[in-house]
Amino acid sequence: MTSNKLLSVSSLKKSFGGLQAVNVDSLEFSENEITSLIGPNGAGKTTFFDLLTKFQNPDQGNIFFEGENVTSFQSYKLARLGMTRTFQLTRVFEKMSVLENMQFSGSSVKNESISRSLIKGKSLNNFEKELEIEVDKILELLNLSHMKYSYARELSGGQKKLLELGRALIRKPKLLLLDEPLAGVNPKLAEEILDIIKNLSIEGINIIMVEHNINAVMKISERVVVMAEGKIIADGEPEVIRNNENVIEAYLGKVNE
Amino acid sequence: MKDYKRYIIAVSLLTVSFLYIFTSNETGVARIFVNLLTFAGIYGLAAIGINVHFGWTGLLNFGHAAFMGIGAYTTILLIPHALGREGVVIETGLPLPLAVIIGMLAAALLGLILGLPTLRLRGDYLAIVTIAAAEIFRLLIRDFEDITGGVYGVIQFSEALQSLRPNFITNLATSIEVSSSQLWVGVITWILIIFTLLFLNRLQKSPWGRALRAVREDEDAVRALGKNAVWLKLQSFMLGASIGGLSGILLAFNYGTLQVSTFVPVLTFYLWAALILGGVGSLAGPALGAVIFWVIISGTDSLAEIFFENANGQQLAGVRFVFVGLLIMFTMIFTPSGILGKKEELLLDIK
Repeated sequence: MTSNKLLSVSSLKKSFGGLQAVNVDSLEFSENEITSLIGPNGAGKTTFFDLLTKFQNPDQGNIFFEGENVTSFQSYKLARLGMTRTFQLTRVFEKMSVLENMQFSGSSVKNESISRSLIKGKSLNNFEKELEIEVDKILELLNLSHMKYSYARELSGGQKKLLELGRALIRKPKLLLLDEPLAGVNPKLAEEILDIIKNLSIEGINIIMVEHNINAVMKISERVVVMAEGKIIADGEPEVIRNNENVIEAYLGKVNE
Repeated sequence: MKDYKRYIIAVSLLTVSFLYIFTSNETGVARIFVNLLTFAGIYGLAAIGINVHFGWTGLLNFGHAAFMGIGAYTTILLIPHALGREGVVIETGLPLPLAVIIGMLAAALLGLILGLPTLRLRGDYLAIVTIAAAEIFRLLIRDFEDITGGVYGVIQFSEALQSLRPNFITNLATSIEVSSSQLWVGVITWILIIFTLLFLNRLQKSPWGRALRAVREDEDAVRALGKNAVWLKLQSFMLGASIGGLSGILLAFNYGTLQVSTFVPVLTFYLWAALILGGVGSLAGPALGAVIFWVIISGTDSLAEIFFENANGQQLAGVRFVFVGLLIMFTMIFTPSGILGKKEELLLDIK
């Protein structure tokens, strides 16, 4: 099965022991939309993310990115195709400066070869200079300019989330997978992050995010996919989802029982 | 702690210990110093290799002795030598520089072979695999007696290096009454350390060095950003291994004979002691740590008299390592990142 969609999966399954963590028959993500993946804790959202980005291998099923079957790809190869993810628990390079975090992400694999690094030719130096200009732009956008030379571990939790987002952005991804971008972030910063996400979408970056903050999800998403016990139980526009009985049941438990 | 304070501590530690060696030995001070600094240089170079693994990339390598060993054996067996038992001299061989390069490549190759299956593992697993591999390597060397000389070792290879010794080294050695061959090995060792550090300094500040640090910090994030973490780790492993190989070659020339018992696991742990004392992750730290380690090893004999009257060899050896242990403890308490290490990059949290 091939698809012209940006990202699609077919009969994707993953279980841990007897627990069926993910069991998705078919799901497609189109271009130019913000899709949110919601569901109760333990619904398999993060595992699904891990499968999509190949941080875990599915037991069975296929993943297609831009029509290409990428099921057998390693995670770093998928990232090179333009799929970049963030993590539920923020993963910045703590003992590197904010600048270095960004530079590493933006640097090309070619320039990280040991021979080019040793020779340090003109093209490498120019690349690094242009990269720093790019880094400055993104740090400006994220209000992190004043922390440019600080170690990443000196950042607050929210700032680390921003850095992780920035680190993904400098790679100019086609598809950005955000795992709980608002977790542990104060309401004001959450607003800012939502604005940034929205702008990215307008600029043509496709976004899939896992998020627990329902208000934010409803506000920003064009499409909401609901998972429970590894399965997709609802899929549609935010308004439709809000009134879907299955969804209410999954979150609040059955009525009359 | 500010950087300059670290250097003040380093310099004063060295000054005090050198002065102590001067005052506590009436004769042969020059000989003690040449011996100390040569061994320290060789250990320092080897520890620099471990530093590339651990300090830069976060790889726990406890099998460095094997890299030193394969470097030494490959090089020595390629130049004119004699296997210990029969003593038949093999007079043909490659020129020394070529043999050294092949020796270092052999160490890098062993790094590749060991790394391919194990570098997908993290932290302590890698440590277990490397320590076991180093022992396997040593036992193989011991048992393939026809090729390696086995427990009888390899002899009569020093000429390849000593024939290159310039006259002024010989004259200097004669005038200060030290072994001219050891002085020559020592001088070469420290020249090689300087070149290695210049080379590594360039790499550390490059995108490649940055990528290794990122691997050290968080491998999963590295993968998520489209970089092949395993390949980066392999490169680091091979580079550090070849530096280890080079130091192994120097160690063989310093002893003048090549013995398999040189490359026992405890050698690796001495290197780790030097690395931790000097400062994990810092460039010159391992070399400084190795000097301090050797000051304790070769300079504390008279201190042993505090504990024993007329201490015998065994007691002396014990006392030496009591001091090494104490110094490591004090270092950990007062400057846990080592004498020259950066506090911000303190690296003792292994994942």
